[in-house]
Amino acid sequence: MSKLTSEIGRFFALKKNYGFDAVLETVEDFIFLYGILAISAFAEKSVNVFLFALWYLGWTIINEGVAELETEIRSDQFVGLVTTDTSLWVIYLRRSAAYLVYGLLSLLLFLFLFNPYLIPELVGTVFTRRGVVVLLVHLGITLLAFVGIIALTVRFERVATMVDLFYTLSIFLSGMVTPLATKFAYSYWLVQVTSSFQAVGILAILAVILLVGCFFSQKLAVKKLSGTL
Amino acid sequence: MWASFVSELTREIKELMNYRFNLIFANLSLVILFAGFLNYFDGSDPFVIFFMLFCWYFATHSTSMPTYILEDELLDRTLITILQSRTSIIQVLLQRSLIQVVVDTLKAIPVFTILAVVTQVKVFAYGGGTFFLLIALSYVIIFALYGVGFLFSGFVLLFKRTSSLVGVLNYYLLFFTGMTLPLEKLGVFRGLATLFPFVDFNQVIVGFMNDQIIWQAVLLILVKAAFYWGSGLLIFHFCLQKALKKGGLFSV
Repeated sequence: MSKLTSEIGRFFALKKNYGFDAVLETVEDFIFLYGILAISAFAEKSVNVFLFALWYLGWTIINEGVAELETEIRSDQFVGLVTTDTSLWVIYLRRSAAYLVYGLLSLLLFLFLFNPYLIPELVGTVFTRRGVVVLLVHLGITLLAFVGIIALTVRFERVATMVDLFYTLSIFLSGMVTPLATKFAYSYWLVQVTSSFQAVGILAILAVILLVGCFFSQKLAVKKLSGTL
Repeated sequence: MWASFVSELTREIKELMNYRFNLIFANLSLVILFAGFLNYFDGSDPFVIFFMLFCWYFATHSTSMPTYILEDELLDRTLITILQSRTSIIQVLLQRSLIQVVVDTLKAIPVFTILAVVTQVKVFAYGGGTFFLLIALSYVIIFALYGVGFLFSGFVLLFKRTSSLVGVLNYYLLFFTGMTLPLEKLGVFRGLATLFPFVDFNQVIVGFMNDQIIWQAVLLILVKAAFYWGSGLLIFHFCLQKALKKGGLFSV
């Protein structure tokens, strides 16, 4: 547990060190999200704050992880990271907790600035049996994607633009940000996970695909890591 | 002059080709984002949004490129060499900005062709003449915004790293200057939006769609362009003189 809290402390200390940059990056994110939500409101398409929050937290974990690892690779700190006793995957899984805390804080700040009434609505949805199950399923799927993408970053070193492509796709096609009621949308199945066996099956297939992806990308990464050492 | 322009352009294109996967993914992301916007605006005319997005695609570099160039030169410790040479720093920035516009044009052609095909926006719906006039006016706005870029780049000379600041400006331009969201929806940002030329550009496009030329809006764009360049060069010059006196350009 202490290692986990020290990772969280390290992450926030890093943000504090580059305070001006960190604040402006957050402002940039907020402007983008504000714009997307304002466009949705303009087009009279209501946003589900719970799904939006899940989407935001998931992508914060992935984007922060990729950005940090790419920086470590470029600045040669990565060599130090892979020569420690703790495996790279454990380190980054611990770090994902730090990214999650950061994502949660910035989400609450964003919602407070965008529309404070959305916060009680979000809290009300999360603390229900269905809300907790959906949250856990989404975090599980996010972590599988996270490990796979981290492995791909180790192998290819620069993947941020590819990740950004999926991020943009997810805004319009996942149904998490802009409402989308088709069977191809991830949100369509996620919200039914407590009430439909079909939804459980579809999400289980998605998890298996991600797990297989993780397996192969980790193989690629391990090959690269042996070269690094 | 021409030879250095061509060699710099060739170098820039070769460097882009080194990162071709990044280039493809980044531009595909933009196509998706733009296609999403175009499909989302039930109330607005896709023809208007198309030209606005065309402008924004270039404007992101107009406002940020001079800053990035100066930051790189400062980081590589080559800025002082430029300042000591016979070529003025403004001339160097102008040339590289012009090259950026050419490179962006090369990238914009496939991006906006794909976008027009995917979203089925009829870009020639009001005739080829209208299309080319609007593209020409877009370039006037793009060049005008390089004046804003010069203004912000001056701060690099004093504060070393200001790229995050211009990064914030990119999405601000997209959402809060009347490009994608109508002026009446901007609330407190409405007043600031009128400082940028997109509200006027919007009027010009709508005017063209109704077979009119709104000269007042065209004139306002030109006045704003003169204002951006005037204030941009003035602030840049002021920051440069102050930085030279302080002697802070020799180190990062």
